[in-house]
Amino acid sequence: MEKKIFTKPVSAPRMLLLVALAVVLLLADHYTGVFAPARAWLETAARPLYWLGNVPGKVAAWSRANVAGPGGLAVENRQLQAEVLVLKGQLQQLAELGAENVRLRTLLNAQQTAKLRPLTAELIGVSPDPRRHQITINRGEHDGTFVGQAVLDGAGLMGQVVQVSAARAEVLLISDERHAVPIRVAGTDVRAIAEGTGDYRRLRLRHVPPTLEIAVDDLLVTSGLGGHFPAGYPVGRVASVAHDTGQPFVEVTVTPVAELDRSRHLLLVFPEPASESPHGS
Amino acid sequence: MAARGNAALQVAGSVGIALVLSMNGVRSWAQFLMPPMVLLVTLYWVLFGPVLYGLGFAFLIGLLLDLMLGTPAGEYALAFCVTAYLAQLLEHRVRHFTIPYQCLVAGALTLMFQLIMVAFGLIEAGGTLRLAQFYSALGAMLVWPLLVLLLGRLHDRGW
Repeated sequence: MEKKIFTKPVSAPRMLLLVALAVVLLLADHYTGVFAPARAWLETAARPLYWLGNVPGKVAAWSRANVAGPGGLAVENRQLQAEVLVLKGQLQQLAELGAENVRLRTLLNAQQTAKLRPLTAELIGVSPDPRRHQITINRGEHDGTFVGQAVLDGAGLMGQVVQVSAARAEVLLISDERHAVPIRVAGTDVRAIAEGTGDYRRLRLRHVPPTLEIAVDDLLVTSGLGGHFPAGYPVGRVASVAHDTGQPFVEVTVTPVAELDRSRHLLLVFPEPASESPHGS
Repeated sequence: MAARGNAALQVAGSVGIALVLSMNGVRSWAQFLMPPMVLLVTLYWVLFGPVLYGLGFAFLIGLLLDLMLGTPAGEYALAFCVTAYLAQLLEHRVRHFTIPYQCLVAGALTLMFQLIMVAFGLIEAGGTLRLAQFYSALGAMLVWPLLVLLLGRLHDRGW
């Protein structure tokens, strides 16, 4: 293994100087946006790398779609047809419920909730750091994506956009330790905050008093408070409620309904102002 | 000059491939086993590469990762720099070690790197400390022989 003629000088002052420089960079990045242009430029430069990194995932998806025999496709087709039928039925019901909701809201003199326009997106990258539950999607500024935008999959809330570049966006998942989302319990309307735990299959509710009406299997939906997330999207189901008598708060864990570690096809939600509002308000 | 250019090309190529490999993250418990490929390639060049590739090189690669991955600028740079310094301290011994001993050193250095990154995580998010965060040291020990074999081949042909 001896391949070098000269050995490198080991220099502690040099290392300390670089560590000090790193600390200065950390502070500069935290308090100013000085690195934003460099990040934007690198995003463009690194696009081929993301594409290459995504090749195995694409090959796997392609093989799943094409390698299955005709028998498998026929079974899948039947399942999809049955699913479409069920969804169509539910949609008819939804239209009726929507109309009823508008009538009731008019009666109550309440403002109409904003309509939401979805845009499909595809996952193109995952943070290599397992502590960060962050994914990259193929929609960026060109598609109107903005920081703070809610991201869903077929089952429920996935997370929110935290960084946008020209053709890509970084999405922080709800299971990341740095993420919190205001929720309410569907049915009882009890409000709480659901925080990520760093585990894709578990969220926790913070500061829940023991008197709160919450039980295992309750569905939690976004409350819309805070303005980041549209109201009414499913977040998770209560997995356990544990009360230690010595503690002032109850420990509530939640299983997310979205497949945070699996979904490849996602939805971005754009708020659209209501086209008609009762009494012109 | 040609040899130096050739070395730069090989270093850039290997770091690029490591970046691609690390971007294709597996999202399951196996993700924790995934070794930090860019760090391992950087450590290889710090240990066995030309004199040019030292602490400054490790710092720059770390900064590149920071800017690409959206982490605060300086976080990976600091962790890479400190880990590369530790590698340099062991450099004379490591170059005479057999591959199994080198694997242990690679595992220990990855563990140090993860400790620094976990410390950053705790400062940033006040998150929890989990044992799984250190599994990548095991992955690094498994991958190191392959890395030495592949990059060593390049080395032999290059200069």
